[in-house]
Amino acid sequence: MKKKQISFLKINSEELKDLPIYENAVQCGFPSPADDFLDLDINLNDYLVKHKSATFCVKVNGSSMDGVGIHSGDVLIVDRAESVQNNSIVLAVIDNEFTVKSIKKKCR
Amino acid sequence: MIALADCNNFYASCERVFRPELCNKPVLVLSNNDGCVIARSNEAKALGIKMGVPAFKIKDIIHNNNVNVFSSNFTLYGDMSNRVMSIYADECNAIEIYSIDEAFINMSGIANLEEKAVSIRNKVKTWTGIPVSIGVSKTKNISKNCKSYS
Ligand SMILES: [Mg+2]
Repeated sequence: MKKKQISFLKINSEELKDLPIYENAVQCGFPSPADDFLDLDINLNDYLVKHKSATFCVKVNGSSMDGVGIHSGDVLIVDRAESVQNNSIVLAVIDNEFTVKSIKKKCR
Repeated sequence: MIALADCNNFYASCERVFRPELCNKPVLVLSNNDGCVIARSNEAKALGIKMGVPAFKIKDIIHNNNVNVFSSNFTLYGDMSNRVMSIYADECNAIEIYSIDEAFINMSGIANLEEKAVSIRNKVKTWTGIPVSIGVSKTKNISKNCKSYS
């Protein structure tokens, strides 16, 4: 049997702590050590998940999306609430199978 | 006004969300230890498989019709239920969860009830993949009876 292109992961929605953002981490020169303590926090659940009820995580198998930077073993966050735009990368069902595709809208 | 929203063939529908190849195919979900039928897709119902029947009694029907049989996965059904219920909650000012796949939705103050019910149904289908039937009425009892016609 053909290997499945994707597999679903269970999302652990345990409360994620807010992490500080280190804004100056990539700056050159001699930053003050105090610069790292900014009043900016990031919560990865909030940052990565827009519609919790519509969000699923899948793991990619295979190299078909290497061209757009999605490699085998990568985990994708799929939001079923989003609408499809030109160049959207989508989890599509083709011939009854899940597959990751990039959308190209044609002008008519 | 009050609506009763009920997921269609809920456990079977949950399995299908993750297995698109099972669309339009007969699907059964069995109780713990694969004992009895606890959910049937419409195609499985059409084969005459009854709710609660022990799996061993329908071995031939399953085999002859390529029925897809699943052991129950209540972690999955609970997760999908939470998603559906929180969509209802976002769409109105109060809900009352009645079972894992049924909830009463307070529809008071909504001008176009039919339009609202259809939009909730479509949203749940798009966001989660789960099909839902919704009946709207003045009392909970009538909503529950209407639902079968929606
Ligand atoms: Mg139901």
